[in-house]
Amino acid sequence: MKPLNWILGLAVGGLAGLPASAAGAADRPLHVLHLGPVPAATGGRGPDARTNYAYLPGQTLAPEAILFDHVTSPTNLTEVQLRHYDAVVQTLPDSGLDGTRRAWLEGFRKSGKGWIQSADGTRPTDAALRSAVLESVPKEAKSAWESSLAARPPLRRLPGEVPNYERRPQPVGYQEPLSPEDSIRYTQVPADFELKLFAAEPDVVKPIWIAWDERGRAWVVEAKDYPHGLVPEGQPGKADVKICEDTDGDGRADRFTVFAEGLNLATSLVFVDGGVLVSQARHMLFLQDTDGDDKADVRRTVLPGWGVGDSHAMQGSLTRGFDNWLYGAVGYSNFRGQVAGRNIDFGQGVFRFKADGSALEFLHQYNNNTWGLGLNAHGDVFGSTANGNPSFYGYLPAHILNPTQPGPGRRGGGGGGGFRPGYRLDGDNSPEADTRNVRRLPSAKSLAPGMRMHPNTPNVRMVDNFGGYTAAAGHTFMVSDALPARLQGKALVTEPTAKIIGIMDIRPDGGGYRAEDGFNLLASTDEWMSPVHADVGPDGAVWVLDFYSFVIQHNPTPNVRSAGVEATTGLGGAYKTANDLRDQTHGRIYRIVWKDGPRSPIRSLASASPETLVAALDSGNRFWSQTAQRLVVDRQQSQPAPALRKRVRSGTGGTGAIHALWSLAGIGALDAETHRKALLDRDPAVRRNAVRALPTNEVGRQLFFSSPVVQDPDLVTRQAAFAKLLEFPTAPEIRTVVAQLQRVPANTGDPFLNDTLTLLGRIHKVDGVGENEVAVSTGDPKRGEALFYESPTAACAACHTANGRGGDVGPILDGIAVRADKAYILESLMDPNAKFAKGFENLEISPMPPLGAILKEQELADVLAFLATLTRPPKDGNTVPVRKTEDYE
Amino acid sequence: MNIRPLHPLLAALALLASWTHAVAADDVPGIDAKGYVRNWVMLAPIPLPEGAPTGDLLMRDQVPGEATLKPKAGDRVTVRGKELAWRDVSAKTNFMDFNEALDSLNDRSGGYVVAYVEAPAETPDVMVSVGSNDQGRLYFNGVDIYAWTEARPLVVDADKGKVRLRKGINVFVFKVLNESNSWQASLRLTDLAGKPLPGLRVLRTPTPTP
Repeated sequence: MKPLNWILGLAVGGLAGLPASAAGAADRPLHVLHLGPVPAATGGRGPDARTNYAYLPGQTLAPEAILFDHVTSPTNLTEVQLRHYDAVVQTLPDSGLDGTRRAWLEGFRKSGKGWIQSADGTRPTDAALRSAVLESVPKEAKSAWESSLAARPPLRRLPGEVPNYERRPQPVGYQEPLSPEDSIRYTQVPADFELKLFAAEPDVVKPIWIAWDERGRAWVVEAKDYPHGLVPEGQPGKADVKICEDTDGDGRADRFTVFAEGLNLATSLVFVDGGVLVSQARHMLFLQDTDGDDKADVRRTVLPGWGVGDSHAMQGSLTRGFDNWLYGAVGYSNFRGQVAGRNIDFGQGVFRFKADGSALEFLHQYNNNTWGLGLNAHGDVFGSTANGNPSFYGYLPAHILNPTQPGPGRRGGGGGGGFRPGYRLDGDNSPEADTRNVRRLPSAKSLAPGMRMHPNTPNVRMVDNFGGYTAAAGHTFMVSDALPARLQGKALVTEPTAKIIGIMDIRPDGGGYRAEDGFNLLASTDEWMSPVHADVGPDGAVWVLDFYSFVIQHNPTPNVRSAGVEATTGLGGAYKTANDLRDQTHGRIYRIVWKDGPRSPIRSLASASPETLVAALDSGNRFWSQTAQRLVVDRQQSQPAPALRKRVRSGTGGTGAIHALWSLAGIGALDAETHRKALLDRDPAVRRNAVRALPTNEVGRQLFFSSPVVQDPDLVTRQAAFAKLLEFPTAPEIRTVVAQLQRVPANTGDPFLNDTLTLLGRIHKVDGVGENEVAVSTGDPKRGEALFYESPTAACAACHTANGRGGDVGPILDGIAVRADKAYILESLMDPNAKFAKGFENLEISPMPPLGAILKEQELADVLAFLATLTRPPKDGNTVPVRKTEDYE
Repeated sequence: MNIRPLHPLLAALALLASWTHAVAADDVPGIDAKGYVRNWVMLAPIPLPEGAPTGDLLMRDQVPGEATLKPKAGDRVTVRGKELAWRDVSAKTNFMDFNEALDSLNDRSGGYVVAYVEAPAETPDVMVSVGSNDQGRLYFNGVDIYAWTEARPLVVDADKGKVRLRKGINVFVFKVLNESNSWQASLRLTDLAGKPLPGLRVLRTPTPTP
């Protein structure tokens, strides 16, 4: 688009009405609001596909402190927010603006700021956009912007070998680290927010997790021994738990107390039973201070059996569930151990357990290293993983589902396995049934497959899934009375690779959820910044843990051929270069604070009365409402019970009622009448939680059938009711209900409900329910080829080359059809760890996700058909990718 | 059970005993009156790599294309640098004891036993009862039909499934891994009522009876 197509709202007036936040600061970036849809990026093709994110000018203009925020729908724009910008770029058609917002924008322009309108709704080049913005903003704003550029130090490059998987003509150089103050200058938060430093090195180093106690004090896990620091059982590691306090209320931590040290590869902590439970190498660790000196004097191992094969695939993200269980996520280091006399074996998903280790259940299987875990305002479970999955929703229990699944990957249901479907001696399985036609159900569904990231640096360094989320380390929800309405309930996904905190706009969609791109809450041009976890704190602001490491990539291990750098694989599976650039000395904790908002009113619940605790369940800040529930449950006091019952029975719904319900359940005081009222509450989220709180005994069964939840008008709640039916023992009336549910078109037409119905049919042995089988026609190599090269979720070509196109991470697949039989190829797709190809035998664990969990059965058949066409071996016969060394000369 | 290295002479005797064991194999019926498979073609012991969980190793091929193996005695294969030969063995009782067949203790080892079950006619609803010590994975005519990924003592008939035997040769490949001590496997074929199936034979090669 040509600049001529743009109407520049030039600064013609004075600065009357310009707020201090925009005009008064002598040294600040330019803030521009993009009003209109976020263009969908393509990516994955072309010579610069690995480095060009092609969306909006984050990679070009943000590095010079021209920062864009994005509002896709004008109804989300408020006048207060608008005042924080220097210019507005409108790609939305004029007809999309209502009178009120048009008037705001007219006033905005009259105040001397820029209102740049696209004549045809298209996006200009970044250079044209830059010119238009700089021409439109007030002189004072431009002057402040120029001062900010002059004030910050340039990003200097130091010697050091940096892997160049992106195949840049010139590899990215090793950047010199910045001070926290200068890092802030290179980091964007929304114009109406401020990034405030809470703590930094040397006080805090390598923060990986944060949680707050009932006094609002921050407890931080310092992963000082990540990634290579695994030590033998019984020996002290270098990780610790540190209490960071702001004693004078200035927003900065000023007292640091090591609560427990000598931990090994600790990843997270959660408050429980008067202490904290820490996830670390091989087991959980319960730590408690019994004499009030803020030092752990009780140290007890809980729940051994967590694998340590890969230090970025271990258990972590410990969180309290609404249901008073503890929740966590684990990657492919897996759990394998015995709990309550049962062998349990699972990996790559979300689990829940009892704090004393007496129970453990695998909840939601995903297909990759699972890190992020978060509960929305209603207690529904979401998470995020590596490689293109920044948000998933867990809706079927894996410990019930997995034993019914066909083919490889039968783990997760307890025990050691058994006969696969079609060969079992129960039900009506035909012994000769083609088990490939048994539909594989997901227990969690990806909500944002292929979603692109929006970095503020052109120097994002990635191994695969170029341009998409690849290290979605955290997934929490903004439920805070100190944040603007436009952010409420949205999810924060930390992505250290791209130096961003992405926002997922997660909305109900039938019996489940969908996610839309909510852009960023934070994005940095400082290539050291590495947000690994973000969550709402006691003040209602979003707190960010910045691991602050230039090298954040864990694996695969690069070599000269693949990335221009020779490296070895260290303990824990992370690569190591000769001049090891992995940092062990930095770390920052920030707060992202809404300038126009209040802070959450509660300061402490440490000495709260039962009445105060019950009142706090209704806090607009989820941290406090959950803390109140925790205190009620862990103290096991009966005094709050009457007030809790009253809150549930009030019929007014809301999160307070949900937390009151679970508080009652947690202290064993949830009576049938209160439970019945909750099942009939007008708030669907209360009904949903009431369903989940039902015991699986006769009392629970009677309560279940005394309410209409199986036909709940809220389909997410209806799905929860179906899932509860999975837990009841099979009985004639349940089989009858399951059969009846199949007759409701709304149930079979919704994928979440239909999946649950399918599993109900399997569990309660009711024929013809859901969609248990899938029709798979002969694979189409053309469709398979398209999937191979273009599927953002399978992303085959990101790692494998075929017919001369594709990535260099995994084996070259030319000739695969003649050097391996179909069974081998199928098993490799379904269970990448089953076999390792020639040249990759030394891999402990395959980084490839099992495609059975990603692709539909027909898609899998199509990919197989395409692979069957690859009959011509590579010209040099080498199936291990080789990069031409001259690329680096 | 204590494990001690074998004296070379004892090792030679053990090898001889193993050979005589194999020679005597066909004295035992291929499948006994209760339906337990007695005749096998065995490949063992395959040393398992240190460090990797045994359950994971079970789910990986220890010999390329293990699902579709059709070996005969004398066939040789090299696994992790060690050359091994397939050989005929027979179970003395209703389970196959690898250590007994090898006349040695083999901790952290894996092995295969293969049975060629010849059916006189297509036979639906054949109950397959399996047991293993420790991990076991069973392939039936090239299809992975069963896996047990945990260490456990042998319980014959621990798990039951069903298959349809085709007329002629049906191939059962049973991979069994041993973490420590005893190393055993059992496989039984009956009708759904647990009664033996008439006319079944267990051969030493995939060549049908003329």
